[in-house]
Amino acid sequence: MLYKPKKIDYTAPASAQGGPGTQKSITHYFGTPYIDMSAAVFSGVQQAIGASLGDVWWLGGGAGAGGGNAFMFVKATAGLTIGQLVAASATTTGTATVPGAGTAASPLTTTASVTTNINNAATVAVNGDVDNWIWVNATGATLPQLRRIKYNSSSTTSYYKVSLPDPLRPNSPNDADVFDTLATNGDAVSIIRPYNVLVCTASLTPLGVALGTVTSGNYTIIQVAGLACVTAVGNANALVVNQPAIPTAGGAIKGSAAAAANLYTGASCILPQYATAAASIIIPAYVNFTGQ
Amino acid sequence: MQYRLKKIDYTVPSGHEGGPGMGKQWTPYVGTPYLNMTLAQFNAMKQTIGLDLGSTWTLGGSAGALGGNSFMVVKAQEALTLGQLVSLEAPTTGTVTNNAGQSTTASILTNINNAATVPTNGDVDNWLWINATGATLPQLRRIKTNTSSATARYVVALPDYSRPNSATDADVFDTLATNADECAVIRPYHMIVCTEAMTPLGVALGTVTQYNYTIIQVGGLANVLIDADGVNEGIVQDQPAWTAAAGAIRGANGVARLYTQAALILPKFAATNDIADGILVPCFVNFRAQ
Repeated sequence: MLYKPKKIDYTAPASAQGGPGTQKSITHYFGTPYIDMSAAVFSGVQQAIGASLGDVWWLGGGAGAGGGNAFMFVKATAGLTIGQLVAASATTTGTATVPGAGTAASPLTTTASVTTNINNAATVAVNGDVDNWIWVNATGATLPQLRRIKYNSSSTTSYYKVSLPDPLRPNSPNDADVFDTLATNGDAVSIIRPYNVLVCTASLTPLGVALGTVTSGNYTIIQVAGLACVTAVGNANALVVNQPAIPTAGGAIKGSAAAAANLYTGASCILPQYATAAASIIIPAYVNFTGQ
Repeated sequence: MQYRLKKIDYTVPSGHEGGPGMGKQWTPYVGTPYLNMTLAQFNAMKQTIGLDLGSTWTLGGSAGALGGNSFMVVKAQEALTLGQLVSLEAPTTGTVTNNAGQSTTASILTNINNAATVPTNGDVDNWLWINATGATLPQLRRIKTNTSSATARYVVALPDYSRPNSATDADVFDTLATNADECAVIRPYHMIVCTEAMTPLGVALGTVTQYNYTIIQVGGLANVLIDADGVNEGIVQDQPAWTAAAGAIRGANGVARLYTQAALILPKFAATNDIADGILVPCFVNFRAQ
């Protein structure tokens, strides 16, 4: 995972006034404007306090006042509920269309713009993937090519620009970020979206804990370390105090049968602080996903 | 685990002078006043240099002068000795007593007997978790006062003098607990000796009296105790080790393990316990991902 440590301590109102229990909060930032932000609200937050996706901060102060807990700004690509583990959203894969139809909807593929067979008409708005990455494994290229997306269309044959006209170089139609090698038709393409998260499952790598109800497509704060409240399913494999738990379906955790190591939590830790065999209950657990 | 990152670099005297080997010291902070602090001494440290439970720092400078080693201030809930791995104390669990109005949304009477273990207000700033019947969500609150008795009482909301018409502050429980509802007292940064089936979080740097405060090492080159159980589970140089009984480590035989999967204990000395029972070996450790 990518971490962008912030020097700013975005202390939650609850913490400032005495801890996670204050103001009837059971998790940090509960009830703040940060938990379920539309794109417009998130843009406002970006401008107001300099927050951006991936920002990570640790609260100071005593443990009782929330000190030692760490958080991150992310985008939810699925609806989330309080206590759910979240994982990184899968990349969108496709292939390059070369040369392309040469139409507005499917322009010719060049070293500055790649037309693909990715249908994002219903999922990504125009320019919704700007500042995400596109990876192209071009035939004949020595190395795969990874570029920042500077423009994207929203269509059944979406195309992605990685290089724009450079006003400082009037004789050059594109800036220096062009692909080194022009893709061949059918070459593999992948759109990678950092800090986009969805509900974790048994075979996904948990990266944090949702702190409230979040609408799919909205922005939120997740907890990446500290004492969190996590949804537990204990009736299959009971949760044991201080025995690392593992992810299961629906963003929940469960006990590890026979204390077996788990691939998906190999670099993280979820330590239940309450033993339970209940079918569904939110329990306190020390978590740390910053090693992912 | 929770980490409270400090900007202050509490460099130890031996670090100033060139490394852990200076002054006949071979672990950081040996011989300092920090390793076995009474409550009074710890309170003094809090006031003088801002130490607090959970404070975590990484020493700067070159490796030979201790640079790259990380430490944390914790409370020892059991006696510790040099080189022992430590782990989190389990929360104290119990049930709420409320069959005749003994509990309110501001104060909970429990069946937890802490008379011999926790003094009055010894749990202040720790957390109380209650799974109240009928509550939509579990309720987690900061403890503001506690009694020390066979039936401990925990107060989570105190009179709020800013609100003279309100008997208590805003931290009251949303839902009054029913008699026999489950509760747990969670104490961050309270450590005990690690065992084979526990998650290691640091290495003790010296002898620590039970209930005293100390500094543990959470990253860097540490001296760790080898298991002395008589079974041939020798450690292999540069192969991650497992936890074992009594805060020691044992060889992993190349097998991954749940309790150490997010940590690293990398021995820099190979030894079978036939020849090395109970000795301390240097290991690169990192528990910061736990």
